[in-house]
Amino acid sequence: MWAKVRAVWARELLDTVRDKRTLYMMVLLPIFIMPVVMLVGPVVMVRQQEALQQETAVVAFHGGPVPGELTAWLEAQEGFAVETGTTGEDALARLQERLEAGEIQLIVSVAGYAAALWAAEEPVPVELIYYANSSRSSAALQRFQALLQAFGAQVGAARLMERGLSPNLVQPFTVTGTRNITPEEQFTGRLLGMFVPFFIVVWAVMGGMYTAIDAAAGEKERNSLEPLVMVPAPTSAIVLGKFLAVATVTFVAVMLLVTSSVVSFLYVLPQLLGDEVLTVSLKPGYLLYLLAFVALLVALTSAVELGLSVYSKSYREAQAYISALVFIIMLPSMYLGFAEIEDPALWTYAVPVLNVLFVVRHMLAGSLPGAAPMAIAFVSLFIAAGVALWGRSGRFATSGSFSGRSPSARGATHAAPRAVVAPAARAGHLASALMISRQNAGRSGGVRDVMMLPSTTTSSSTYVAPALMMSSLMLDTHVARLPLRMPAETSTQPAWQMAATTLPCSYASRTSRTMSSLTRIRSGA
Amino acid sequence: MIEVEGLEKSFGRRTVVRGVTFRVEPGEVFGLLGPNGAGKTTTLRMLSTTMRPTRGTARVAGYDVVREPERVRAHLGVLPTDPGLYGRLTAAENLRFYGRLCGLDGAALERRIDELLEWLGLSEFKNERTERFSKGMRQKVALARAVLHEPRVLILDEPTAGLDVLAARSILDFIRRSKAAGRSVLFSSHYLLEADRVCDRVAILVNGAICAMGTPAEVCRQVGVDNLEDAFAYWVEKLGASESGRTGAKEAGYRVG
Repeated sequence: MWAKVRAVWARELLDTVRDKRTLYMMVLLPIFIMPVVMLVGPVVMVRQQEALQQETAVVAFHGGPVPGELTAWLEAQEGFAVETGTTGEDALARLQERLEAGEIQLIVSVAGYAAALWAAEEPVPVELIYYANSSRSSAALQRFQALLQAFGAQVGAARLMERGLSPNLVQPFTVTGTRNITPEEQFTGRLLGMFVPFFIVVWAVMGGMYTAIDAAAGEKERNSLEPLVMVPAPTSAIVLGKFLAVATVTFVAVMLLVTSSVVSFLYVLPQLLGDEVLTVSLKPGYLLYLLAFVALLVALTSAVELGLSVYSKSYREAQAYISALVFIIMLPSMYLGFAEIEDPALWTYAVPVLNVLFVVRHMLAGSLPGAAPMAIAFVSLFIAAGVALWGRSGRFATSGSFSGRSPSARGATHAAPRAVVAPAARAGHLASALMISRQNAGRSGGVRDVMMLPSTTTSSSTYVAPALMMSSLMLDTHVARLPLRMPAETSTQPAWQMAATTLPCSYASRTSRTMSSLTRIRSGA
Repeated sequence: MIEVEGLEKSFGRRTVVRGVTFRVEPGEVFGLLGPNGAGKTTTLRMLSTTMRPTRGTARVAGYDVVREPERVRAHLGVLPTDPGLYGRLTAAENLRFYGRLCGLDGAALERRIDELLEWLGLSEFKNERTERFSKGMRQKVALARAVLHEPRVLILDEPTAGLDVLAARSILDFIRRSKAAGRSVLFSSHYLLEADRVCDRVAILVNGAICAMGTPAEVCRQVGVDNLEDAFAYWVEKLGASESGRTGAKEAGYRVG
């Protein structure tokens, strides 16, 4: 038994290694491209900030006359050039054009009586005009505001001293400094906690994607499933081998990605920015937990992926399902990326995927979420993976045995999934019947008068996706299902549905007595 | 050996195989002949345990195909319609994989692989990926896969379909050698010339039922013709005529309604 499991496992891995796509997904993308993507953003941002700090911003004064002390003080500051001497509306418009063109970075509009106010030691109203689309203009605005504040404080202090008062009168508090007591490990752990759980979860699906597709849907497509199920080996051994292969590939991919992103974040990024190397303290014990959780998550996703692959008829179909799975699994991680949930409720640890996100985040921040949540998360993942795997091995057996070729046998083996799918599909029909009918109606001219929604004949499809009702080994013949409820006119009216053409019933009774008792008139038939 | 009795298979209301009964002794080559859609592949699939019969029993190498499918598979080599090889694996790797699944391993397996590839004239392609192989070469690798575990019974589904003359010849040669080795060989075909040459006995299958069975000479004598092709044409025309007559009636019915 184990020798056969190993044979299947080894073959899948060999096939994977020889396939360029899987190699790309498994090695190239996680090791090189993801870190690059992660590093480019921060590095570019920091570099740009630095460059802006060093640039000289041109500040144009408008109106005035501007108090000479202010311009003189500004010019003495580094990184500012001052223009003065324009007044009037036209000049302001021209200045604004130049601001948009990027020739100047800031316009300071001063009222004409500013000098009088300055002399009277009253507040001088100043309007700052900037261009938010340009980061230079925004930066100039910030710096100018800070400088104006400082200049104001200086002038204010001088005025108080002139009157023999202490400037301290208007400054009841002094902030001596700020201190951050977050340990550096925890801080970097928090930063990592934003990326790493997301990567783990997404790569738990993406990493083994091609292996999973190849293992079942691919076998069907290249017709190698028939010889495979004919070997004297139990189906469970084949499924187990395939599952282990998908899980191995996924696990390796996830681990490569985590390692490379941690390395690039902790070592490469600080060096690019010229900072000291960040440190994160992941205790060895935590590392074991991390590995265990990743392994369980990978087991779960691998089983689900293999299941989807077994379900699908072709390579492309499987690919579509698994891509959808990626998006589904991304939702909770996106949410966690933005939301700050310090103490999640205990039940959230019972939700597969979500619990991995929580646990990994906790670990990176340097603590464990406690025994109960850990146990719940572990057990829930374990059960989920087990159920997924067990369900899949059953499916593999039925699809492999070719019994699905007969419609009656198909009914029997697929009864369970259909029982689940049918009510859900019906609910979906009700909800979207109106929209579907609009879409259908458009093809043959307008909404029909006699259509009742939800209509099972014209507006909603009675077609069930082949993967849900057929064996993957059946020939490609799609058969329309008989609708559950059929309108009476289906048998007498053509498929394109005629609208009622005669007058309404009440009209008919007035114009023709003999017609009044005929109810058939209503249908127009 | 193969014993088939009253084997039936229906898909819904459509019956594809209707009560087929025959025996293939050890060291005998039995040909299942019939036009497309006659139920040949369905019959072979039921015998190779990948399809469950609706009615009837079949025993392969002494084991019941429904009750002991795994034992049947252990003594049965099958060549399906499509070779279904793994393209990214070499010929040897393909065979090694199936060999391990059959419970072989180590030096014995390697020896067997070398021996089979040598026998089929593929030794120099042993370590080349099968995706670069021609159709005939792939079919040969699939044949090697079928006999890897030295099965007592061999089932071949249209082994020569689509092959050139030389490739087809070597496949027929392989069938003769299997016969000499004491295997029961059951194969389906619609090339009557080759059936005439290699088969000890043949059965003509039309519309899912056997209409003639025996040595090629007997089958010919039965309907008074001198070659298998004429006998085949006789049965297909005779039974096919009633079928087309029914279709005609159906069309007439539509016109009236």
